[in-house]
Amino acid sequence: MNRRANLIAIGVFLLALVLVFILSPRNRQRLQSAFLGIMSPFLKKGSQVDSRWKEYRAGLKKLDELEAENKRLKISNDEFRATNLALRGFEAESIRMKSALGYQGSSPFAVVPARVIGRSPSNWWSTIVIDKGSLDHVESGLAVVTPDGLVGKVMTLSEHSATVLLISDENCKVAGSVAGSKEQGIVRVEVRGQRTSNSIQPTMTLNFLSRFAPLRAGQKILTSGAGSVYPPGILIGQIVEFKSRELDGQAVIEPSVDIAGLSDVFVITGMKGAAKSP
Amino acid sequence: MITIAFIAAMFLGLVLQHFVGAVPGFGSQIMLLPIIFLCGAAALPVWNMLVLAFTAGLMWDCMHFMPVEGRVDFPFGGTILLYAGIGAMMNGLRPLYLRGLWFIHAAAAGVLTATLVLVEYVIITFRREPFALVWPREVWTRIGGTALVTAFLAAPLFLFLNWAGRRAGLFTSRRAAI
Repeated sequence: MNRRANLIAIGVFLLALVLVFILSPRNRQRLQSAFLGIMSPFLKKGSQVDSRWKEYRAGLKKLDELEAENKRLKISNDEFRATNLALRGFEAESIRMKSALGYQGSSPFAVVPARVIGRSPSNWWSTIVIDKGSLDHVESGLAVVTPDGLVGKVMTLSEHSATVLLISDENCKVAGSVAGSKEQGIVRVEVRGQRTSNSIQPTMTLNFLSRFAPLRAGQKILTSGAGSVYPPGILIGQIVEFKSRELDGQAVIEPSVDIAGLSDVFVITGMKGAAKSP
Repeated sequence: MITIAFIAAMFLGLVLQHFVGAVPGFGSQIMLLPIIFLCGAAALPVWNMLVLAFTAGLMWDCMHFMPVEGRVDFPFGGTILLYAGIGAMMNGLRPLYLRGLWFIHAAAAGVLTATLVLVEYVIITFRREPFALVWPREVWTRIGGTALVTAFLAAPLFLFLNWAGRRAGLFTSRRAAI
């Protein structure tokens, strides 16, 4: 009897599995969107708790320093410490917001500011979840940046959140050009030994350059606009080293964005004054 | 009822997994979703284990399936099959769990989660570069780290579930009645 029940269970399971495998892309996207929609309130709440916890820990560190100073100056006071801690939290938040607003005003692009509410829990994929979705005019394929440079592109969408594929993911390839030069190529994460680098700053390379291109360390790499996913002129990073290979040249790049420390990003929805998205 | 509780726990585990980050030194992600799933697979009968495998795999694929330029690393639904595979192995050890040998399952959870991560890696590598399997040291560190951390985290969970099951009278000496 038990064995028969197990066989039925396996049969039902396989049937359900087949149904998932043959889902049409549209239904699959709907399913993903619905699940991301369910996840996003939890991720938002979790992100708030996480940032409060980080602030608290940073506060504790500062508290130690303050206590040492207070001992020396003999002005230790509990109320003062508590107020100081709270103000420091607000100050950090205020500086961050000012910087974000500054970028939104000065950027040539029409951007939607978003907060990172989750990071990929996977060992092999590099993605983040942001708190803006289709209702905020975010669309799949749009470029995501910070004031420091390119972050990645939007992939899966729900109404109030979206998944962003980071440039540190091997799947994210960007058409790039070297500032002050005619050299163009494809920027991607260095594969050898780097497929696992989702939690650290990745080593990236600009490939398919001229073999004897006169490139030097420190030159900036910008998006070239080829492929029309990323608008041209967004900073990707700077050259650390140039290697002349058998058939082409390859530049090792240091990304300009601190991938591990992302907290606020901007989704480029178009050019300022333009009617349509790129 | 207990299956729904496990599904809720897996969902919360997946949410939490977004914030706990990687283990310093190893770079391995802390895999809460597989840990909770494997607890369920050890404690529950085949029917319930398959429901959990389906839900866990589907949740993971919903978050990670991303076609880039028409190419995918992993077929949508593929993770369900992986979870069912490791779940079946854990479920096969269920008689030992019912006898109170929870530490075997804690170690098995580490090994099976590492297997899950390894299979993911092999499939991704094969899909991206079919004839160039890349095996840097960091991959092994990450997979090994996953095994250790999972076994470490799973041990108290298995112990607690075993204790709770006995206290609630859900486990008899040889058979479970959950």
